[in-house]
Amino acid sequence: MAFDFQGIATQFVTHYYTTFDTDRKALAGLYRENSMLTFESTQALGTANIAEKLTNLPFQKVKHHFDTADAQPTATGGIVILVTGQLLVDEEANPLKFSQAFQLVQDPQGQWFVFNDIFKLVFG
Amino acid sequence: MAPPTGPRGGSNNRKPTARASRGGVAKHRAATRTDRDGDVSMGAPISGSNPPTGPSGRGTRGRGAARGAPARGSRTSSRLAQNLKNYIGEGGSKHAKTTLKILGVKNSKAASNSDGGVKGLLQFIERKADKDKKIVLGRGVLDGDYVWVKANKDDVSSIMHLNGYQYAGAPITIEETTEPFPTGTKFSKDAADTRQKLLALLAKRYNAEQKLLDLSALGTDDILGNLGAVGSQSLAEKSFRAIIHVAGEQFKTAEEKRQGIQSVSLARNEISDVDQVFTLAYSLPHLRRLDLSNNRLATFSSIAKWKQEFRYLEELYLVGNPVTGVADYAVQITQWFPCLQILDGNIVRSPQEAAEALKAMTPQPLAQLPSNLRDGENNVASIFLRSFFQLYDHDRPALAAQFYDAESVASLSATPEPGRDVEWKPYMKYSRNIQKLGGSRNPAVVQRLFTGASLIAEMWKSLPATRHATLDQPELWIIDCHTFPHLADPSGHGFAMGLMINVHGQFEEADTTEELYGTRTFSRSFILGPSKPGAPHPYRVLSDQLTIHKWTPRAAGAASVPVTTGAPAAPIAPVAPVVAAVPVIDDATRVQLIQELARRTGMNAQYSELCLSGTANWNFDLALQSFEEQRANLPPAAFTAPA
Repeated sequence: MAFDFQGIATQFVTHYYTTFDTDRKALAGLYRENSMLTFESTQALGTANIAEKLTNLPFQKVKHHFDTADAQPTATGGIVILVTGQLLVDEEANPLKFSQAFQLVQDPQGQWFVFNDIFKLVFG
Repeated sequence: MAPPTGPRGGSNNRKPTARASRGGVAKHRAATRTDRDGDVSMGAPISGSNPPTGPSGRGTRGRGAARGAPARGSRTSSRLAQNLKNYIGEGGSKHAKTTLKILGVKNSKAASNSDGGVKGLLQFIERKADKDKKIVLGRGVLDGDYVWVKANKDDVSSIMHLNGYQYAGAPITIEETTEPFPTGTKFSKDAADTRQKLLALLAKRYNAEQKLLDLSALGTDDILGNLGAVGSQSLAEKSFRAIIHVAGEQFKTAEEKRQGIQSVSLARNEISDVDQVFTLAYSLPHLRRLDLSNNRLATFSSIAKWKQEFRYLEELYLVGNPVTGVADYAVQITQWFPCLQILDGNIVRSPQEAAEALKAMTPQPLAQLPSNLRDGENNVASIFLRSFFQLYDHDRPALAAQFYDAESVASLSATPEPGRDVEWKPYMKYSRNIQKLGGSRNPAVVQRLFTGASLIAEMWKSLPATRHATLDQPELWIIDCHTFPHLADPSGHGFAMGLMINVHGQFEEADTTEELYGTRTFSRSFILGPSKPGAPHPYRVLSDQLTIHKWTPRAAGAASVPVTTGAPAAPIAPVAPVVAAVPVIDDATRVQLIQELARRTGMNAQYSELCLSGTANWNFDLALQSFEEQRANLPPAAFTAPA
């Protein structure tokens, strides 16, 4: 592996959830025009749509706690990351469990961005 | 709070004047002045979190003034401050408090006073205890022969010097105690008086018909004036809090209060920052109409402390405040209060817009949508998943051979439960959870990434045998599937489309070597791509990420049925696809739920069963919740093994 996919994934996961919990509008910078977000089966393509989707999620406060994060390099030089964890929204006392899969790829300038982002609430 | 700055005491003058209409009855001649208490009134900077309260305020008083018999008015109003402070539940200072019990007042001449001599006794102690330091005691309560009072711990040694002193002809005995302070209705006379007066003020200013609490121009209020509760900034703020507190007390429930007070006027109170009256937002968060007109709010920041408050405010009046001249005033204020429809008499939002804003504010629970395969007409994902889990449960080498090749990558993460290492051991040696392994320098990170079908099959061999539910039980699965572009075409030309499948479900596990059986929850993410020529299937697994969690029964009634009944038979033999019709909650499931609850709570089986079969009606989460609520009341027998 020509790159430290594990280190990139670790940094990414921490950054992503910290940003999500504090100012999720700012996540827009992690996406590009060809990025796709699937949030609970609704899809959003491109930075603007994704930012809108994230910003308009039906909660004010959110706190993620991730239990596991795993990363693999892909044959095309990307990184797939699978995160599982729990999130607390607003004043809800019961955490919701989620799994979220990302594919990170590099743009021509070598910047990593989120190409795929698939979020799903899960049970158990 | 600047508001009640009316003339004090006997010089109270309520005559409406030309000034009053200019917004404030109580203009002072000078920007600052010191009242008889030494409290700086008007224009004094307000230290928001820690305004000069009774004791510290009085500490600034000149020594001379503090000596001997203080002026009556002074003592009254500082006592008032103390009472109000006690009243509104502020400990008052950062000093640690202790409780004193004082004996002797009963035998003193002061016992015949209207308050049983309490006030005189406390004043006596405050005066005599320390000649160099001002001692301030709390509100005294006469209970039996004793007067109970709170004092600063620092002052106790000085106060104790008075043991044996004569007060009004009788010796007094003072002791420090850890006994609970007598509670109930035994307010000191002062506090009771204050309360009566505040109630009178509220009666005068509350309009039940309009559901309006009119607290405008408090500075000119007779009652507050007579209480000495105006004139100083800190006193005024305290009296405001006390008023709001007493007003709130008049309603039995929050809902009654919400219905009973829908409008508040704070007009003409010389408020220069809403921080001075912030408590209103806590006490009446659902207020619909608020009049702040003719105050001294000059900037957005002077209102900003309320911008997250009053989410339901419909009408707001700020006319007569300098802030109304600030650029974008209306835009900004409208933005801060999402339901605001009328600002200074102008319509800023339609009722529909306000209703929509209100709706948007109410958080909807995140809906969990059913599985979504999106795998097109040829059902690639569902066919793949059926084969996959059947083979994973019964013939892993065949699975590796059919769907994996030399380029496939697989990995596994697990979150072990504390104290249950043995159960999780088979997984932990492969787990490459970034969370646990830390940075990429850890060699395990690379070692635990399995590339190629044969290595993957090797790894699988040492994992516990499993039984997944069949896909015919959709309630046990959550599957999300997406096309996944950007894959290298195995022919070496350009990119190909793939499929990303996210699966969430549960499986039964049987580790025959450790004789461990259990249920696990898992998330598994696959990337499928076109396979190389000659492969058994047109697509292969490029990436396989498995995460294993401890099992949590599903909350939703019928859906919480585990996959099979009881532990799977071991050794694993090929079995027919399982479970066509499982009763909603069968006995085996009950046993399993009881065991799980016992494990999670430490209760024995009997109490676990009671907990589950009660109001929880076999809903695991409800049972757990009711355990948490009842925990303190459970007998020790709940946690011991039955004899």
